[in-house]
Formats: sequence, C-alpha cells, structure tokens
Amino acid sequence: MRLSRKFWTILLPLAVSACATWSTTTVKPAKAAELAQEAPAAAAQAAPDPATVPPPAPTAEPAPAAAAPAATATPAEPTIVDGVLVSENDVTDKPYKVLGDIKVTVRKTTIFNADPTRAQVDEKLRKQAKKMGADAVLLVRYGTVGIGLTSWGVLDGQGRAVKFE
Amino acid sequence: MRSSLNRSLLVPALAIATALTGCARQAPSLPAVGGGLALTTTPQADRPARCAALRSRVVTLRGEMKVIEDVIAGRRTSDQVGGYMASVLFPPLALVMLADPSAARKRELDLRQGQVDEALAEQKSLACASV
Repeated sequence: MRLSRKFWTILLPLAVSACATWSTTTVKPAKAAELAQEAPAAAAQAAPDPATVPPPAPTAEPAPAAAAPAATATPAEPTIVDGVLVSENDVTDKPYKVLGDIKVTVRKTTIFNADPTRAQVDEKLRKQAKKMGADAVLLVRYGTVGIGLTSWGVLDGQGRAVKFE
Repeated sequence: MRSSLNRSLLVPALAIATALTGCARQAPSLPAVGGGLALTTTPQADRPARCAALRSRVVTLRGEMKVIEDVIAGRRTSDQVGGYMASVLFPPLALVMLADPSAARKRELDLRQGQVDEALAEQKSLACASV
C-alpha cells in the first residue's frame, strides 16, 4: 500500500508535467514524377483568349523564407519559425518542388494532461520539414482532438513539404 | 462471477468506447500533387475577379470550419468523462455511447476541407496573385 502511494506520488506529477505529450511522424516522400516543379499555372496556360492582352505579372522574387508570408493565398495566419513557413494555404505564384507529405500525430500522455494543440502539430511538422531541407510546409490541415487507441487526446496534422525554386 | 463479467466486458467496452465515443478525427488527406496545374478556361481579364471570389470563399469556408470545430471542442470534456466511465468504471455504459454525436459535424469538416482544397487548386491554376 505504501509502495503504491509512493508510486503514484512520483508518477502523477511526472505524467502531468514532464512528458505531457508524445508524438509520431511519418513522411511519404514524393515520387519522382511528383518532384517536377510546381510552376505557377498562368505561365503555362494554353493559348489564353487572344483578344485580351495579359498584363505583365508582378514578379517579385525575394528569398523564399522572407517572401513566404506574402506568398500565401489567404490570410490564415501562416508562421515562419526557424526559416520554415507553415501555412494552411498553398503558394500560388511561386514555383516550388514537392519533397514529400508529412503526417504528424501528437498524443497526450495521460488523461490529466492538456490536449495537444495545433501549435504542437505545427512544431513537429516544421522540425520534420527542416530535416528534409524544406522551405515550407503548405496545405496544412488538422484533425480534431479526440480519444485515440493509445491516448485520451490525439491530434494529427498533415502538410506538404516544399522547397522553393 | 460479477467480477469476471466486468473483466470480460472491459476489453470490448474499451475498444467500443475508444472507437466510437468522441474519437479523434483524422486530418483529411492532402490533395494530389500537381492538382492545381490543370488548364483553366477563365479569360485573363476575368481572373482578378475570380481570384478575389476564391479567396473570399476560402475565408468563408474556414470560418464555417472554425464554428464546427468549436462545437466539437465544447463536447470534449464530456466525451472524455464518458469514455473513461465506460472503459474503466462501468463497461456497459459503452453500449449507450455507441453513436458519436459529433460524427455528422466531422463529416461536414471533411467536406469543407475538400471545398477549400478545390478553391486553392483553382487559385493555383489561375496563378492568382498572392496577398
């Protein structure tokens, strides 16, 4: 009984404070065919209406990391930390190479820990992207926190690791 | 007798509770690579307006998703308590928790994510100027 009380006295604070979450990451590398450059489509459009003269597109080309916040299509709060942009949007006017799809799952350790957050998923995506040499993780989407097979709180997220040309 | 009954029910109840009660929703799959490179028939002159409409649509869809997510998050505590009670304290409770009340909302989230992906793909095909 005394041992049991000691056990819980040590385990509970540890569980609640030290290892609040644990995570797994999987990467699906892009196939060779998919590594082809994702160019802005307008440049490759087949014969647009000849009656309309396309205006010259603005071609600001700053460094990828610096340009990234401006390069997202909608204001969904993209973040650049550690040189890697994480955004729920796509970059629509700047060519990039797809390096692979990253899937991250963050789980809380015990039922007493706080639920995993999107920021934690972003952080894991960013870490993995940096390992892959990516400039950004685009099209990020999240699951919904809920009970999983191995945890009382699971949140997963996916994103596409890309490198700007 | 009662103890062994409880024990025999524990594992299936845990599985059921885990699978059906407030279970986590997986992140929707990523769209195919290169999906945004399809040719567009939108005349050049109409593209700015179309791009603005698409941007607005994405913002609207994300707003709707946020509302649904907030509703699901509001049920989170009761889901956990229910799951815990069912799996650890009183396994038969799992039987009354068979239906995930958030299932329809989760399907709506997936549906809207698909619509967002379509809008983003069209933005890419139009090479919409970034904001």
